Amino acid sequence: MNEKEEELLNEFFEGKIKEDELNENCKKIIDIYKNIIKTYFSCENSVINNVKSKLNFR
Amino acid sequence: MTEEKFVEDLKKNDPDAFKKLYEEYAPKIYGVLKNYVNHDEIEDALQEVFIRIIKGINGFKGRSKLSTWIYRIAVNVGKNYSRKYQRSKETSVDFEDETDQNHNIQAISDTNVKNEVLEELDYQMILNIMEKLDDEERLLIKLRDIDGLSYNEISDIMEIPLGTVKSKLHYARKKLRQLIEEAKFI
Repeated sequence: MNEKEEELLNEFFEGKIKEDELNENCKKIIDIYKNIIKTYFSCENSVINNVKSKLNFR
Repeated sequence: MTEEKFVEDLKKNDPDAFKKLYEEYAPKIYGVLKNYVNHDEIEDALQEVFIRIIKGINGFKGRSKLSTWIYRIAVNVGKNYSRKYQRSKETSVDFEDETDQNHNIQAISDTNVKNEVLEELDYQMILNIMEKLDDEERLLIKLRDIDGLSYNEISDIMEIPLGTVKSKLHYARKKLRQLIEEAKFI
Protein backbone atom coordinates (compact mmCIF):
# COMPACT_ATOMS: atom_id res chain seq x y z
CA MET A 1 0.00 0.00 0.00
CA ASN A 2 1.42 3.37 -0.99
CA GLU A 3 1.11 6.72 0.77
CA LYS A 4 -1.80 7.85 -1.39
CA GLU A 5 -3.75 4.69 -0.60
CA GLU A 6 -3.06 5.09 3.07
CA GLU A 7 -4.42 8.61 2.88
CA LEU A 8 -7.53 7.37 1.05
CA LEU A 9 -8.15 4.74 3.73
CA ASN A 10 -7.78 7.30 6.49
CA GLU A 11 -10.30 9.55 4.75
CA PHE A 12 -12.64 6.60 4.36
CA PHE A 13 -12.45 5.73 8.05
CA GLU A 14 -13.00 9.35 8.98
CA GLY A 15 -16.15 9.31 6.86
CA LYS A 16 -14.80 11.90 4.40
CA ILE A 17 -15.15 9.63 1.38
CA LYS A 18 -17.38 6.70 0.51
CA GLU A 19 -16.27 3.16 -0.23
CA ASP A 20 -17.00 3.49 -3.96
CA GLU A 21 -14.55 6.38 -4.14
CA LEU A 22 -11.68 4.09 -3.14
CA ASN A 23 -9.42 2.41 -5.68
CA GLU A 24 -9.52 -1.36 -6.15
CA ASN A 25 -6.64 -2.10 -3.80
CA CYS A 26 -8.16 -0.02 -1.00
CA LYS A 27 -11.56 -1.65 -1.54
CA LYS A 28 -9.90 -5.02 -1.21
CA ILE A 29 -8.19 -4.00 2.02
CA ILE A 30 -11.45 -2.67 3.46
CA ASP A 31 -13.24 -5.84 2.44
CA ILE A 32 -10.66 -8.04 4.21
CA TYR A 33 -10.58 -5.68 7.21
CA LYS A 34 -14.37 -5.94 7.60
CA ASN A 35 -14.37 -9.72 7.17
CA ILE A 36 -11.63 -10.20 9.73
CA ILE A 37 -13.25 -8.10 12.43
CA LYS A 38 -16.72 -9.51 11.73
CA THR A 39 -15.40 -13.06 11.97
CA TYR A 40 -13.35 -12.37 15.07
CA PHE A 41 -16.17 -10.69 16.96
CA SER A 42 -18.92 -13.05 15.83
CA CYS A 43 -20.46 -14.96 18.69
CA GLU A 44 -21.27 -18.59 19.28
CA ASN A 45 -25.02 -19.10 19.28
CA SER A 46 -24.70 -21.99 21.72
CA VAL A 47 -23.21 -19.65 24.35
CA ILE A 48 -25.91 -17.04 23.74
CA ASN A 49 -28.65 -19.67 24.00
CA ASN A 50 -27.20 -21.35 27.10
CA VAL A 51 -27.10 -18.09 29.03
CA LYS A 52 -30.56 -17.20 27.78
CA SER A 53 -31.87 -20.45 29.25
CA LYS A 54 -30.02 -20.05 32.54
CA LEU A 55 -31.46 -16.56 32.98
CA ASN A 56 -34.96 -17.67 31.93
CA PHE A 57 -35.20 -15.13 29.14
CA ARG A 58 -37.21 -17.49 26.93
CA MET B 1 -40.81 2.70 22.03
CA THR B 2 -38.69 5.36 23.69
CA GLU B 3 -35.65 4.42 25.74
CA GLU B 4 -37.32 5.91 28.81
CA LYS B 5 -40.33 3.62 28.46
CA PHE B 6 -38.09 0.64 27.80
CA VAL B 7 -36.07 1.33 30.96
CA GLU B 8 -39.32 1.72 32.88
CA ASP B 9 -40.40 -1.74 31.68
CA LEU B 10 -37.05 -3.19 32.72
CA LYS B 11 -37.42 -1.64 36.16
CA LYS B 12 -40.83 -3.29 36.45
CA ASN B 13 -39.15 -6.63 35.72
CA ASP B 14 -41.11 -7.06 32.51
CA PRO B 15 -39.91 -10.43 31.09
CA ASP B 16 -40.51 -9.30 27.50
CA ALA B 17 -38.36 -6.23 28.04
CA PHE B 18 -35.51 -8.34 29.43
CA LYS B 19 -35.85 -10.79 26.58
CA LYS B 20 -35.63 -7.92 24.09
CA LEU B 21 -32.65 -6.45 25.92
CA TYR B 22 -30.89 -9.81 25.90
CA GLU B 23 -31.51 -10.41 22.22
CA GLU B 24 -30.19 -7.00 21.30
CA TYR B 25 -27.17 -6.86 23.58
CA ALA B 26 -25.98 -10.43 24.20
CA PRO B 27 -24.11 -10.72 20.87
CA LYS B 28 -22.59 -7.26 21.32
CA ILE B 29 -21.50 -8.00 24.87
CA TYR B 30 -20.06 -11.33 23.75
CA GLY B 31 -17.77 -9.40 21.39
CA VAL B 32 -16.66 -7.06 24.18
CA LEU B 33 -15.94 -9.97 26.53
CA LYS B 34 -13.98 -11.76 23.84
CA ASN B 35 -11.32 -9.06 24.26
CA TYR B 36 -10.66 -10.04 27.84
CA VAL B 37 -12.09 -13.44 28.72
CA ASN B 38 -10.80 -16.91 27.89
CA HIS B 39 -13.09 -18.88 25.63
CA ASP B 40 -14.10 -21.38 28.28
CA GLU B 41 -15.27 -18.64 30.64
CA ILE B 42 -17.18 -16.43 28.20
CA GLU B 43 -20.50 -18.07 29.08
CA ASP B 44 -20.00 -17.33 32.81
CA ALA B 45 -18.87 -13.79 32.06
CA LEU B 46 -21.87 -13.13 29.81
CA GLN B 47 -24.19 -14.42 32.50
CA GLU B 48 -22.46 -12.22 35.07
CA VAL B 49 -22.98 -9.12 32.92
CA PHE B 50 -26.71 -9.77 32.64
CA ILE B 51 -27.05 -10.54 36.35
CA ARG B 52 -25.40 -7.18 37.06
CA ILE B 53 -27.79 -5.51 34.61
CA ILE B 54 -30.82 -7.15 36.25
CA LYS B 55 -29.63 -6.26 39.75
CA GLY B 56 -28.53 -2.76 38.82
CA ILE B 57 -31.29 -1.55 36.51
CA ASN B 58 -33.21 0.12 39.35
CA GLY B 59 -30.15 2.22 40.05
CA PHE B 60 -29.86 3.35 36.43
CA LYS B 61 -30.65 7.06 36.53
CA GLY B 62 -30.52 7.76 32.81
CA ARG B 63 -27.51 10.06 33.10
CA SER B 64 -26.00 8.17 30.15
CA LYS B 65 -27.61 6.19 27.37
CA LEU B 66 -28.75 2.71 28.41
CA SER B 67 -26.30 1.23 25.88
CA THR B 68 -23.37 3.14 27.43
CA TRP B 69 -24.29 1.85 30.88
CA ILE B 70 -24.53 -1.73 29.58
CA TYR B 71 -21.26 -1.59 27.64
CA ARG B 72 -19.53 -0.16 30.71
CA ILE B 73 -20.72 -3.11 32.82
CA ALA B 74 -19.45 -5.49 30.14
CA VAL B 75 -16.04 -3.78 30.00
CA ASN B 76 -15.76 -3.86 33.80
CA VAL B 77 -16.64 -7.56 33.99
CA GLY B 78 -14.17 -8.26 31.18
CA LYS B 79 -11.41 -6.33 32.95
CA ASN B 80 -12.05 -8.26 36.17
CA TYR B 81 -11.45 -11.51 34.31
CA SER B 82 -8.35 -10.06 32.70
CA ARG B 83 -6.97 -9.00 36.12
CA LYS B 84 -7.70 -12.49 37.45
CA TYR B 85 -5.63 -14.02 34.61
CA GLN B 86 -2.86 -11.52 35.26
CA ARG B 87 -2.77 -12.44 38.96
CA SER B 88 -2.63 -16.16 38.14
CA LYS B 89 0.16 -15.48 35.67
CA GLU B 90 2.14 -13.58 38.28
CA THR B 91 1.61 -16.37 40.81
CA SER B 92 2.88 -18.85 38.24
CA VAL B 93 5.96 -16.73 37.65
CA ASP B 94 6.64 -16.54 41.41
CA PHE B 95 6.30 -20.28 41.64
CA GLU B 96 8.66 -20.68 38.73
CA ASP B 97 11.22 -18.44 40.37
CA GLU B 98 11.06 -20.35 43.62
CA THR B 99 11.30 -23.85 42.26
CA ASP B 100 13.15 -23.41 39.01
CA GLN B 101 10.85 -26.03 37.53
CA ASN B 102 9.28 -24.28 34.62
CA HIS B 103 8.63 -27.31 32.45
CA ASN B 104 5.11 -27.84 33.76
CA ILE B 105 4.10 -24.28 34.44
CA GLN B 106 1.70 -22.75 32.02
CA ALA B 107 0.18 -19.30 32.32
CA ILE B 108 -3.58 -19.27 32.02
CA SER B 109 -3.43 -17.09 28.92
CA ASP B 110 -1.55 -19.88 27.18
CA THR B 111 -4.23 -22.43 27.94
CA ASN B 112 -6.85 -20.35 26.22
CA VAL B 113 -9.27 -22.84 24.72
CA LYS B 114 -9.75 -20.54 21.74
CA ASN B 115 -6.46 -21.75 20.36
CA GLU B 116 -7.19 -25.40 20.98
CA VAL B 117 -10.62 -25.86 19.46
CA LEU B 118 -10.20 -23.95 16.25
CA GLU B 119 -9.63 -26.07 13.25
CA GLU B 120 -9.92 -23.87 10.23
CA LEU B 121 -6.63 -22.34 9.22
CA ASP B 122 -8.25 -19.13 8.04
CA TYR B 123 -9.88 -18.61 11.37
CA GLN B 124 -6.62 -19.38 13.08
CA MET B 125 -4.94 -16.75 10.95
CA ILE B 126 -7.62 -14.25 11.92
CA LEU B 127 -7.07 -15.04 15.58
CA ASN B 128 -3.33 -14.66 15.20
CA ILE B 129 -3.77 -11.28 13.62
CA MET B 130 -6.39 -9.96 16.04
CA GLU B 131 -4.46 -11.12 19.07
CA LYS B 132 -1.50 -9.00 18.00
CA LEU B 133 -3.66 -5.99 18.85
CA ASP B 134 -3.96 -5.17 22.53
CA ASP B 135 -7.26 -5.32 24.47
CA GLU B 136 -7.88 -1.61 24.10
CA GLU B 137 -7.15 -1.56 20.37
CA ARG B 138 -9.52 -4.46 19.74
CA LEU B 139 -12.24 -2.89 21.86
CA LEU B 140 -11.96 0.42 20.00
CA ILE B 141 -12.30 -1.34 16.66
CA LYS B 142 -15.21 -3.43 17.93
CA LEU B 143 -17.13 -0.48 19.39
CA ARG B 144 -16.60 1.82 16.40
CA ASP B 145 -16.34 -0.41 13.32
CA ILE B 146 -18.68 -3.23 14.36
CA ASP B 147 -21.19 -1.63 16.72
CA GLY B 148 -21.02 1.81 15.12
CA LEU B 149 -20.90 3.78 18.38
CA SER B 150 -20.07 7.47 18.41
CA TYR B 151 -16.66 8.66 19.59
CA ASN B 152 -18.37 10.31 22.57
CA GLU B 153 -20.07 7.08 23.63
CA ILE B 154 -16.81 5.15 23.26
CA SER B 155 -15.08 7.79 25.37
CA ASP B 156 -17.73 7.35 28.10
CA ILE B 157 -17.61 3.55 27.98
CA MET B 158 -13.83 3.29 28.04
CA GLU B 159 -13.39 6.27 30.33
CA ILE B 160 -10.70 7.84 28.16
CA PRO B 161 -10.70 11.34 26.62
CA LEU B 162 -12.33 11.88 23.25
CA GLY B 163 -9.05 12.87 21.58
CA THR B 164 -7.41 9.70 22.88
CA VAL B 165 -10.26 7.61 21.46
CA LYS B 166 -9.70 9.15 18.02
CA SER B 167 -5.93 8.86 18.01
CA LYS B 168 -5.83 5.33 19.45
CA LEU B 169 -8.48 4.17 17.02
CA HIS B 170 -6.48 5.65 14.14
CA TYR B 171 -3.38 3.71 15.20
CA ALA B 172 -5.35 0.51 15.93
CA ARG B 173 -6.83 0.53 12.42
CA LYS B 174 -3.45 1.27 10.89
CA LYS B 175 -1.85 -1.56 12.88
CA LEU B 176 -4.57 -3.98 11.78
CA ARG B 177 -4.16 -2.95 8.14
CA GLN B 178 -0.43 -3.53 8.39
CA LEU B 179 -1.00 -6.94 9.98
CA ILE B 180 -3.36 -7.83 7.14
CA GLU B 181 -0.70 -6.88 4.61
CA GLU B 182 2.00 -8.78 6.46
CA ALA B 183 -0.21 -11.88 6.58
CA LYS B 184 -0.38 -11.68 2.79
CA PHE B 185 -4.16 -11.71 2.71
CA ILE B 186 -3.79 -9.28 -0.18
